[in-house]
Amino acid sequence: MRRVPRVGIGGPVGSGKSMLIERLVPVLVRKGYAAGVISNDVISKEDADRIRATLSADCTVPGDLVVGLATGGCPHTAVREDPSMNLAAIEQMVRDHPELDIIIIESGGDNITTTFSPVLADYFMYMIDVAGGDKYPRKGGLGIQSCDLLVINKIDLAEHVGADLDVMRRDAVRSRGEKPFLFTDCRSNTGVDEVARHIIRDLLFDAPPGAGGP
Amino acid sequence: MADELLGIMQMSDSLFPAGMFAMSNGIEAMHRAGDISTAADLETLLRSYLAHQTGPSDCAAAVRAHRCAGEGDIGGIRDLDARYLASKSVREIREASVRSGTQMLRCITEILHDEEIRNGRMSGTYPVSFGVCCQALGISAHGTAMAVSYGFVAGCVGAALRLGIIQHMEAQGIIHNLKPDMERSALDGCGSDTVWQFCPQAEILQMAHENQDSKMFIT
Ligand SMILES: Nc1nc2c(ncn2[C@@H]2O[C@H](COP(=O)(O)OP(=O)(O)OP(=O)(O)O)[C@@H](O)[C@H]2O)c(=O)[nH]1
Ligand SMILES: [Mg+2]
Repeated sequence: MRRVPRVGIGGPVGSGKSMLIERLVPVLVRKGYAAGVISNDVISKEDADRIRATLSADCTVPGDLVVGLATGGCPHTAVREDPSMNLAAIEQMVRDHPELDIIIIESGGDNITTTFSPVLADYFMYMIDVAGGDKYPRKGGLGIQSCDLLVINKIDLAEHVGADLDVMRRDAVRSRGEKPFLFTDCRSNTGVDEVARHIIRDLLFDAPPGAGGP
Repeated sequence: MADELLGIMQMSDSLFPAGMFAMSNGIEAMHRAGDISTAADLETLLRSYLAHQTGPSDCAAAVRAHRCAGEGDIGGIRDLDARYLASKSVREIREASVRSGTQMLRCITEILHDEEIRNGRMSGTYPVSFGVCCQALGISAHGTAMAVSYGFVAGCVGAALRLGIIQHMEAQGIIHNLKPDMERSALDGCGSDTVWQFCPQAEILQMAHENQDSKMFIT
């Protein structure tokens, strides 16, 4: 079976992973890419249900292309040490939809050491939000340091929580060197196009839609 | 072939990537229903599971699959797999079993490159896959059944620990207390030429779990 390129999105609880997916998929779909979503959630399938509802309304993604997985108290286990549940879900999805260009996998909200198994994800995004404090890029942790793209979300809240974006920018460069990071405000759709551009360039190597072929 | 004991340890280790960390085997539902709230409750439940399900069904299926694999009887494995699947009336349990079993087979195939277990069209239920993999790793039938029993108990105890039903010391106490029951259940499985189980009350509670909204475990 062809390997459909996969993006993994990790990050602390509530940083905006699901909302980014809700914003990102319509951008990809408008460019002609067929996208599927697997949303890992700690104790419910609420996020998956919300993503499914949003995406079917915004860009008519078929309902079975949004799959929810409840992983229990070990969200990192399900995307790193034992990704078997996710791999099984991906297999099923690709069998049903061989036309897929990309699959986005959301990890359940977790701590800053979360990473994705390279067997599961080809491109790893880590998402934090400014409301967690401007200290986060500085604190590092395997997720923030090793991800292919660091997304710092909810910049609209910076002034309300006393977070200094310049500090976050400086520390992100310090802890990640050359590797990219982006500021986003998913609520007002700021920066989402830029995230899509990074994925298309660095994961799909600018391949046009349908390039992998069924 | 490496020592059998190492193979048993590898197959029963929670590190083995078969998705077992996400299963509670009905314990989450029973806890929520108020049926299980202490270490003693859990021990009683597990004793009953071992006698009426793990031994006669899971161990027996694993041992028979182990034997079929040793004899190269792919048809026998396929038949057993279908029967085992049919005997599981709880959807969540059925689906989880197939998912774990398939992933286990895949992992062992990956490390062994063994044509014997690569072919054969079947659902790939967990104990059947387990038996086939143990055969491929040179583990005896008895070792296979012991690993099934232990894996089941350790998985349930781990789930109870995360649900806050028991504490870490109690967890080890339960595993220790259940050793004779695990042995008996393994022997049951080795001596049986049928696959059966009888735990209707537990199954009804497991079915209730399917309709629960917010849950930590997939079974
Ligand atoms: N102000 C503001 N709120 C946001 C932004 N992005 C997301 N949110 C809100 O933050 C909350 C959490 O967003 P989710 O997308 O559910 O976060 P998540 O990372 O998927 O959460 P878990 O999966 O539960 O860990 C929601 O109420 C969103 O509306 C943003 O850029 N700005
Ligand atoms: Mg989410």
